[in-house]
Amino acid sequence: MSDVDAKESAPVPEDDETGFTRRTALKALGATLGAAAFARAMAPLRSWSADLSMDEFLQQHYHEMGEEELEKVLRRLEKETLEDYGAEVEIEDLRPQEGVQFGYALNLSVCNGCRKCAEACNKENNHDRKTNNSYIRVFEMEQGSLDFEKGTASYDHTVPAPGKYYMPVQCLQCDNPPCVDVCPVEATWKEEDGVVVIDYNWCIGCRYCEAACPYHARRFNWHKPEIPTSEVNPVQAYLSNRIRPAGVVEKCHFCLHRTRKGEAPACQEACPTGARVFGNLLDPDSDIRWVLENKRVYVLKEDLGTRPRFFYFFD
Amino acid sequence: MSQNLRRTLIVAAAVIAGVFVAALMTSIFGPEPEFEIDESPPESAAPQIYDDIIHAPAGLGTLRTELRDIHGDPIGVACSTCHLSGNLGDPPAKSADELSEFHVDMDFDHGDLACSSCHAEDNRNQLKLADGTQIDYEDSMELCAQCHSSTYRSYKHGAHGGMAGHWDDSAGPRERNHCLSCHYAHEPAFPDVMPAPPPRDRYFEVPTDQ
Ligand code: HEC
Ligand code: HEC
Ligand code: HEC
Ligand code: HEC
Repeated sequence: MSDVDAKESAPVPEDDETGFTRRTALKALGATLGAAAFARAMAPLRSWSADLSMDEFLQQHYHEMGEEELEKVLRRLEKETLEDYGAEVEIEDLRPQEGVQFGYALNLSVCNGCRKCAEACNKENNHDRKTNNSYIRVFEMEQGSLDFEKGTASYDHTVPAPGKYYMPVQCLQCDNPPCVDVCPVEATWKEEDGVVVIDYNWCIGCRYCEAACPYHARRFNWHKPEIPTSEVNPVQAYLSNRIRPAGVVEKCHFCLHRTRKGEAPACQEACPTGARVFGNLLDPDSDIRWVLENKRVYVLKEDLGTRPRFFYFFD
Repeated sequence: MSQNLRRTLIVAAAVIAGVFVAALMTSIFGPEPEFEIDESPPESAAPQIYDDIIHAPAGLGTLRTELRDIHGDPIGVACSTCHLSGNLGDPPAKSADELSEFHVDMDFDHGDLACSSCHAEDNRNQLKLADGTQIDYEDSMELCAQCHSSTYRSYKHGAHGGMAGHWDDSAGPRERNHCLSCHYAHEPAFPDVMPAPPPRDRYFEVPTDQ
C-alpha cells in the first residue's frame, strides 16, 4: 500500500511536517471506501486482529485527538476489555507532571536475581500469562563482565549462584532514543518527564524500533495476551499498561499509570532486596539524585550515545 | 498559564466580585453586620507532606513462640520473663558458642560479636549502644548504624533497603523496611532463594509453544 499515492485519490490533510501522512492517508482512504471495501482492504491485517473495528481503524494519533475524542476512545477500549476479558477496568489518560523528570537506578551489589521484579511487571502490566512475558529481563552475569549480551536470562537455580551477579534490564528511557528515530509513523515518542511511550493503536507493528534498540527492551506482541479475568489489573492508562492488541510493539514505561500519580513503579515495590531507586531527577533531595551524586553509576553501552535514564551502581 | 498565575487571577476575580457584592449589599441593606473574619489561609493551602512509614517486623526483641496472634504473627515472650535482672548463665555466656542451655539452638553468624555488643546486660528488654545508652528493639536501626554507618547512610537515602508506596511525598508516604525486615540480627546474611520462573520468550522468535 505504501506505493499508492493516496493524496491524489483521497482527501488528505496537508500534514507532511507531522509525519502522520501515510497513516492519515490510509485512514482517509478507508473513510471514503465504505465498510465493505474497507473490510476487504483490511483482510490481510485480520490475521493479526480479528476484531479490529472501524472505530479503531479510524482512530487518530494520540497527539491529534481532542479531549472529547480521546474520552470516547478510552471508553471504547474499556468496553472492549470488558467484552474480551470480562474485566471492568478504568483506562486513564495520564500526562507528565510539571517539574518531574524520572530517573531509575539499580544497585547491582544487592540484586540477587530473584526475578520478583519481572514477575510483578507481568502482573502489573497485564502481560500474557502463558509466555510469562515481562518488560524486565534479568541476566545472570559472570563476575567481572559488564556485557549483558554475554549473560543468560533463562537460569533456573538457587540464587545468587557463586561467582555470579545479576543485572535486570528493561527500557532505559534513553534521552536520545534510537527506537523513536526509526519509527516510520511516529507511534512512539519521548514525553516531557522522560518516558518513551507508544501509542499501541497507532503502531503498525513494523518492528523497526525493536531492531533499533541496543538493549532488546522492546517486545513484539505476537498473540493476544491471555489473562484470567480475576488477574486483569483494572488500573490502566492509555500509554501504559492497558491490554495491548496483538501485532504491536510494547515496552517498559516506568509504570506511568502509577508513577505519574506519585507512586513507586511496581518492580521497585516488588524488589525484596531493595536494589531499586526511583524518583524525580529535578528534585535535589530525591533518592535518585543522591545516588547519582554519591555512587559511581554507569549506563549500558554508553559509547552508543543513547543517554539512558536508567543507571547501575555497585556499593 | 502557570498554576500560580491562574490562582492569582482567580483570587483577584473573587476579591473584586466580593467588593462589588459587599458594596451592593451595603447599599441595599445598610451597613454590614460584624463578622469574625478568619484571616489565616485555609489549611489546604500548604501542600501536605507525608512522613515515611517504617515497617518493623512484629514482636521484635521477644522470644517468639509457636502461638500466633490474629494477624498470623508469632506471639512473643518478653525477655524479662526469665531474665529478671540480666544474666542467667553461670557464668554468663558472652558469645553464641558459650551458651550451654536454653538459647543453645540459636544460629549466630555475625562477625565475632559478643551478646553484650548489642544486648543490655542489666535489662534484657533493651538493646544498648556503644556508649551504654539503652534503646528499644524498635529503634535497633540506630544500633546497626553504629557499625554499618555507610550502609545506613545509603539506607537513609533510599539506596539500600528499598521502598514502596510513594516516591512523591506530597502524594503519599514512602514506605520503608526496617533493617531487621531483611536481616536477622544474629545471622544477617540475606538468604539464598529460588527465583521466579524465567520468561518463556526468545529474542526474535515466535514462542514455539503457541
Ligand atoms: C524462657 C526463659 C528465657 C527467656 C524468655 C529468655 N531467655 Fe535468655 N537466657 C535464658 C537462660 C536459661 C540463659 C542461660 C543460658 C546459658 O548460660 O547457656 C539465657 C542466656 C541469655 C544470654 C547470655 C548471657 C547470659 O545471661 O548467660 C543472653 C544475651 C540472653 N539470654 C538474651 C535474651 C534475650 C534478649 C531475651 C529476649 C528476647 C531472652 N534472653 C529471653 C532464658 C531465657
Ligand atoms: C548485632 C547485635 C546483636 C548481637 C551481637 C546479639 N543480638 Fe540478640 N538480638 C539483637 C536484635 C536487634 C534482636 C531483635 C531481633 C528480633 O527480635 O528479630 C535480638 C534478639 C534476640 C533474641 C530474641 C529473638 C530471637 O532471635 O530468638 C534473643 C534470645 C537474643 N537476641 C539473644 C542473643 C544472644 C544469646 C546473643 C549472644 C550469643 C545475642 N543475642 C547477640 C541483636 C543482637
Ligand atoms: C558491634 C558492631 C555491629 C553491630 C552493632 C551490627 N553489626 Fe552487622 N556486622 C558487624 C561485623 C563485624 C560484621 C562482619 C563483617 C565481615 O565479616 O566482614 C557484620 C556483618 C553484617 C552483615 C553482612 C553479613 C554477611 O554475611 O554478608 C549484615 C547484613 C549486617 N552485619 C547487618 C547488621 C544489622 C541489620 C545490624 C543491626 C541489627 C547490625 N549488623 C549490627 C558488626 C556489627
Ligand atoms: C529490603 C531488604 C533490606 C533492608 C531493609 C536492608 N538490607 Fe542490608 N542488604 C540487603 C541485601 C539483599 C544485601 C546484599 C546481600 C548480602 O550481602 O547479604 C544487603 C547487604 C547488607 C550489608 C552487607 C553488605 C555491605 O554493604 O557491607 C550490610 C552491612 C547491611 N546490608 C546492613 C543493613 C542495615 C544496617 C540496614 C538498615 C539500615 C539494612 N541493611 C536494610 C537487603 C536489605
